[in-house]
Parts: sequence; C-alpha cells; structure tokens
Amino acid sequence: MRNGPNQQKLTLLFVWGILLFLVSARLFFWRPVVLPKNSYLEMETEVSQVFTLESSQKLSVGDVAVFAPLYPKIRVGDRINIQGKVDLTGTMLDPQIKIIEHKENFSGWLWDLRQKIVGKVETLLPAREATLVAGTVLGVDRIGRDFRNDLIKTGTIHVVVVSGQNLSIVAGVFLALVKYLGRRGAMVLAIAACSFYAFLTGFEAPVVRALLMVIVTTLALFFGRATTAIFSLFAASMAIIFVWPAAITSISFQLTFAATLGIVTLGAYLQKLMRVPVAGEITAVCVGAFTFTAPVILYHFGSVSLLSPFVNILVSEAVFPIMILGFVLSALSLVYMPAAQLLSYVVFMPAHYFVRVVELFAEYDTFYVRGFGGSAVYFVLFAALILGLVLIWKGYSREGV
Amino acid sequence: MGMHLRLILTGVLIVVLGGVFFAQEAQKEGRVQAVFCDVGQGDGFVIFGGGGGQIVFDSGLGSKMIDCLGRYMPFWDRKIEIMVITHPQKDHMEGQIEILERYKVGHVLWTGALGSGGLFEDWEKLVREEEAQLYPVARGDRIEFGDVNFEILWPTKSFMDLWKLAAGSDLNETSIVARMNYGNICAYLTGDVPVEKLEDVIDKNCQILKVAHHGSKSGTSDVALYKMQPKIAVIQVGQSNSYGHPKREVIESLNKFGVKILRNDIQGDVLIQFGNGSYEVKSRL
Repeated sequence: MRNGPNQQKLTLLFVWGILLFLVSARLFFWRPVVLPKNSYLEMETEVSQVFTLESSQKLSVGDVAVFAPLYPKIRVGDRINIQGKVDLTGTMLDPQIKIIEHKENFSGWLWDLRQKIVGKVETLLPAREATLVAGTVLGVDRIGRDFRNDLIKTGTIHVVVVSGQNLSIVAGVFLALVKYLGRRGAMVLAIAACSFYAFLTGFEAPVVRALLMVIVTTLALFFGRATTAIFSLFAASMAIIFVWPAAITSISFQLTFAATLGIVTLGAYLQKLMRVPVAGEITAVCVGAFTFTAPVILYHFGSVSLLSPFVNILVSEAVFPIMILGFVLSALSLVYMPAAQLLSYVVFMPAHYFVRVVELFAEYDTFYVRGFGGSAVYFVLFAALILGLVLIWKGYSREGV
Repeated sequence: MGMHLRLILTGVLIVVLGGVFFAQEAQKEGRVQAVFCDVGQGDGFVIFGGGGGQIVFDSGLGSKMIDCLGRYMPFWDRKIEIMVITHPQKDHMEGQIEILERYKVGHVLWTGALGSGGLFEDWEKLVREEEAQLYPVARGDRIEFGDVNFEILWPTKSFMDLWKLAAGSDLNETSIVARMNYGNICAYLTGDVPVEKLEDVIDKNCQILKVAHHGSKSGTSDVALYKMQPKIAVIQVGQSNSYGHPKREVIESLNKFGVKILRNDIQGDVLIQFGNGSYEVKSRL
C-alpha cells in the first residue's frame, strides 16, 4: 500500500524517534554488568530473570548464565546468595543458591502474574498444548526438550517462543481495522497492542528487539514502500546492535531479522506473483521467511528441514486462534476457572492440531539438509546468493508482474 | 445452497468429526496398558487400569513425565487417581512436583521414608496442599485398580519401623517393589531395590520385568532372573548417562535368559498393551 509523502515522513519520523530513544537509553541509563570468567564467584544479587527449563532454572546474573536445579523455585524479585564456578564462556552450572528474601517490585509482580496464569493454563491443557498457549500468549518458554527438538526440526520453533511472527499477527489484526479507524487510529492501536503484548511477555530483551523490528517494518510497509521497510529494518537492527551488542550473536535476533527481511523482500514479491487470496499470502510469507532463515538455522543447528515451509503453511492458520483464544483463556483462568475449563476444550483443538502436525513431520528425516553447522563462509555465500537473487529479480516484479 | 442448509451441514460436520476425535481420545483410557515413559535417567511410568483411571509410578527428572502423560491421556482427564513414589530420590520424584501442580491427585502411596533437601520439602508441601490421601504401604498390601491389581512385595512393615529408628545409608533399600496382575499376566515393578531384597520377595514367574535401578549391577542377578523367568524387560535409562547404565553384565544376564530388552534410551516411550491373556509391545504410540 502506498501513500503520500506526509505518511512516509510520519513513518520515518516515528522510526527515527524510536532509534533516538534507544540510543539515549543506552548512553544514559543502561550499563551492562560484566563479571569475571573462569573463576569462583560468590555474590548477593536480586533476580531479574528466571527461565524454567526441562531440568533446570536459568538465571542471568550480570553477563553470566546460571543453571540452577529445578527446586527450590526461584522467583523474580528474590534476593539470593549465589556461589559457584563461572567457566570461560560465562556459564555457571549447579551453583549453591540460598534465597535470602523476596522483594516486591513491579517486574516481580508481573513475573508472578505470568507464572500464575501459566500455572492455571497448565492445569487445563496437556503439556504440549499448554506450552503453545504459554509461549504464544505470555512468552513463557516451558517447552520440553523432545517437543523443542520437533519444533526445531520442522522450523516452527519461532511460533512458540515470542517472535516477530506473533507480533506481526497482533499488528496485522489492528492494521486490518484501517477501514473503521483510519490510518492513524489503526497505527496507534497496532503499536499499543504490540506494546501490551510485549508487556505481557515481560519486556524481555528478545521480545523488545522483535517488537522494534516488527513495528518499524510493518508500519513502513503499511504506510510506505518496500524499500522504506527494508531501510527501516536495517536502521532498527543497527540501533538494536548498538544498544545490545550481544544481540548480534543471539539466535532469536538473527532469526527475527532474517525472517522479517525475507517477508518484506521475497515474501512481498511472491505475494504479487501468486495473486491467490489468503493461501497465496500465507505461502508467500512462509517461503520468504524460510528462505532467509534457512542459512541461519543451518549455521546454528547443523540441519534444516526442506519441509519447513510446508509445515509452516499447514500450522499457520492454527496460530491465530491459539493466540486469540489463548489470550481469552488466560484472562478467564484468573476470573472463573469452570468457564476457563470449558474454553480450554476449544483451545485444545487448534493447539492439538499444531502439535500433531509438528510431531508427524518431525519423523521425516529424509527431507533434511545437513552439515555446514558453524561454517561462516557457507553462511555468507548463501546470504549473498539470496540477496543477489532478490536484487536481480526485484526489477522483474515491477515491470512484469 | 441456502443459509439454513449451510448452517445445518456445518453443525453436522463439527459433530461428526468431533465425535470421531473424542472417540479416539476416549480409547486411550479404555484399555489396560502400561507406558514406560522416556524420562531420561530416571524412572517414570503410568498404568491405565482399564476403568478410566491411571496409577503413576515415580516420575523421573524435570518435566518429561508431564509431557508423556499429556500425550497418552485424553485431554479432558486432569486427574491421576493414584501416584506412587517408590523412594524419595530426585530421579524418581522430581517429576511428581509438576504432576501435583498440574493434575488433581487422588491418593499418594509411599513407604514413609523421608527424603532430604528442598525438593522433598516442596513435594511434601504440594501433597499437603493437594489434600491427596497419603497412604504408607508395606508388604501384604493389595491395591485393586480397575481391571488390574497390585501386590506390594517390599518393604516389610518391620523393616520400615527399623529404618525409622535408624535410617540406613541407602535409600534404594526402601524402594517399593510391586507386582501388577492382569489375568494370567504379571509384571514386577522394582524401583531401585537392591537385588538381595528382590531375590527374597520373588515368589512366582512373571512375563514382564521393570529392571531395577536403571540396569545397574546392584539391581539384577541371575538368581532373580531365574526365579522370575521374564519374557521382556524394560530398562528405564537416559541416553549417554554418566553412570554407564545399563551395565554390560546386566545386558548379558538378560540375553542369557533369552529376555527381550526394551530401553527408553533407544526406543523412547515403551508402551505395553494388554488384551485377553496376551500383551503387545509398542515402542511408540
């Protein structure tokens, strides 16, 4: 959709406003805590992040990743005494942890609320279906190792951990109301909804990064041109790397960047080419995202499934009802559990469909491309090939289609 | 096609497909079956009694048991009728915390042996909060459960009384040994019990053996195998575990007696379905 110069100026102004805010925040408020590596550490600290994994709890203490036993449970806001060995990579395994006290603060309250909701959803749905709701609605990653492997194998992990796709869905719902709300109204509501969604998911760094990239590119695409979207995506990514230098090595950041780039370039091109409503759009988005994320996945995980775009097409229609119904289920579970129980039977259907499709396709090992794990040369070559193809064929889309 | 007809057809489609789906889910509970879940380096299995209920023995580490229950139980069933903790060690009880948090648990069977540390305290607290009925069991107790029944073979009450006075050094000694009976088929469920105790309590042949202590040398002997004459043996063991389980000697003994070996680290979940005087092994659902 293209607009007049005023809309484009507004979009650019908005993008630059966000970037300026980020840079200022980085310079004035945020200072990373760097702890010594390859040494014994004993310190008292307040817990600001806890992730419950399948057989451990992961805490972030400064720039050290701590893997503690599952019990006793540690909460955000707990003041703890921690002792253990930090290795060269900044990891501490099986430390001695003593909870001294619990301090009430806003992030602790929000974390408790999310855990409470997840706890209730987990009493209503089987484990795998519950992780889908917890992941897509609340950004709580409780995926077990086997199911996680299945999701990685089928290239659908991005649905369950809060990612650009989920935020795009939220933004898309409100931008679709443009007829009734007007452009400005739809934009404001989309940003507000995405921000609320990020708030629900705890404003964790990967979510905030995805939020920025998605808001900036979705709006640029909606109000401007594809080139504005690509430019905005790059500008937002640069700002993110400036604020969180470690993001450049983070898989979630690389995947969100690659997927967004794939959707606004190859995806947009394929969409024009196919001209099939809904199905064409889904296929274009899935193929675009897959083609650009494939080298990143191959680099980090050593294998990628060629069935991934197909699986994504199959499950994509289930994601929207899981998110929307999951949101209502989460809210209802806090108010009236019997009603939530009834609704959970409805939520189960799309969630179970998603789980079974993923389990089914995870079994097919023959469609895997393997190797090249950790090979930067290959990664660069593949990325160059894709970008080259996009540039070469870009002209064709304007003239021929 | 008119609007009314479309609505009627939509309703019929939903009812028919929903009905087929529900029927398929309901089948999961209707049959007698045992699922030895792939819970990593630990024990965790669930037995469906055929009457719609489940009895869960141990639960391995972390949340793997929950994942397993979610896949084998119908989605509407959020109750575990009986949960057994053979002995309070992490690789047998950690997963029970998640079960207590997510499912309604009717009864908890244990020996009364106390564990230590934050994990055991959390477990006790959750059992109290759940208001589950806590039953200490001992040799001679019999549990009727749907179409199957369980005989408790170990520990004896006198042993547990002694243990309470002066706790021994090895919690494995307190491990519950039970025998599941279904018609003429039976299974020895052995926890981590040391083989000397196991040899003492075997009093009949059984087709199925849950190998004690993840295939450690301390849990299996030729004498025990000779007394049991099992046809199949399930070893609950994690891939590439640091203990080197199952031990070569145990595998050799089982091979010597012609026992078919099923391992969670190789087969994943091991599912045994029981029929009229027969059983069938499936490595996955």
